[in-house]
Order: sequence, then structure tokens, then C-alpha cells
Amino acid sequence: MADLAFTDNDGFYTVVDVKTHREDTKFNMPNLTSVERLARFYESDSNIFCLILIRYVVKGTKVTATEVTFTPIEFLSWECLTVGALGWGQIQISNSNNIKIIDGYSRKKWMLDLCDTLLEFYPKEIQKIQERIGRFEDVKAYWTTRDDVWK
Amino acid sequence: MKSTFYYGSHYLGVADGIKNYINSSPEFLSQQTVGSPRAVGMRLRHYWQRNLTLFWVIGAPSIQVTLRGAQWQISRLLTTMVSILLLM
Repeated sequence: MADLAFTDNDGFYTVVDVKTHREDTKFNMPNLTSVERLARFYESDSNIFCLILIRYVVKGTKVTATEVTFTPIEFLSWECLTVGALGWGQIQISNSNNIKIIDGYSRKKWMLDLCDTLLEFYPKEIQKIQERIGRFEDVKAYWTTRDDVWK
Repeated sequence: MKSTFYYGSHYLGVADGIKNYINSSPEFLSQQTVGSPRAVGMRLRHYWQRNLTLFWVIGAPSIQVTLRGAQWQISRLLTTMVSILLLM
């Protein structure tokens, strides 16, 4: 989940994950964290999951950072986030070239937004799984009728 | 209780500190790593991690951070050294 962690003088424990994005690559949707892991981590109000997002360009062997974002995950707008189908679900940045921050956004509101997102996401996953079940019922029927020429 | 570091907007200065630090750093890629975004990402991550407390000093002077692990104790020492140099 994190590249490093620290505790500040107020007693808040922050874990930090770093994501880098080369600006001239068109499509980048990095996984930020698992929804389940984050839900457990945020059961404590003194835990904070932070991200450092570094956008950069390369000229020769010189790296130039064009934009650096350091933010708790709950300050990232859901307009630039999505959920990817891996395990319980992975929070992803939908496009690394378009990151929207809402400074000071409420964790409670953000977590409720997350829940609403998942309550839309999971039924779609169920639908996908139903289609996959149907597909492999067809595959099984096909293979069941085949002569076994490999015996 | 809310974090004064994040909800007091002190955290905003950290990003500028990281950006300035990377951009003022000497070239640290080789011809072999430059073509690989993964390799560049790892180099960037390694490079700034060693200097985290320096960014904190630049970005938010009022925040003192306690870092865990020997690696971060070294960083704190480096930060102290830089701070002393800046005061001289």
C-alpha cells in the first residue's frame, strides 16, 4: 500500500504511495489502492492514506517534473477516479493527465461517495460474471459432446 | 479531530518542494533506464524518498515529522545539516 509512512506531531499516521506518470504516454490508469484495504485502514480516524503523483517529461537523460501532487486520497475528486475489477476493486485514476483535487474535502463525504460508486460497480460485475458463466456453460456443452481423440 | 497538516493546507507546500527538488537535481538517469517508464519511476521514487524531511522543511516549516526506521533517521540528520547550512 505504501512506499513510506510517518507519524506527525498531532499523532496522525500517514502512509504515502508514489505514482509516476510520463507525460507523453497517452493512457495511464494507475491502481491507487484496494477499496477493502482502504476501508479497513480508515476505520481509524488517525490514519491517512496519501499519494504523491509525479508527472514528468524526459529530455536526454534529464527528468523534469511538470506537475507534482501530494494529497490525501479523500481530496481526490471522484470525477477523476474510477474502480477497476481486481479483487474487491481497485481505486484508479481514470486519466493521469487530468487530476482534480478538492482541498479540504470531508473524509465522511468521500467515503460515502466511494460506497455509492461500489454499490453501482458490483451489480455490473455480477452481470459480467453471469455472462461469463453462460459462456462457459456453452464451452462445457461443446466439449462434452466432443469425441475424446486424445485418449 | 482533523489533521491540521492536511486541513490547514500546510501539505500543499510539500508538492512544490518535491517538484523543485527533482528539477534542481542533476541528471540521474542512464541511457539504459531512460526508455523505461517503470525504471524512471523507481529512480524518482528512490531519489525523493531519501529527502522527504527536506521537502517537509521547505513545504511546511511548522510541521515536525517523526519518521520510522533507520533510513529516515539518516534523512533527518541530512535535513538538520541542510537547515544549519541555510542558517549560516
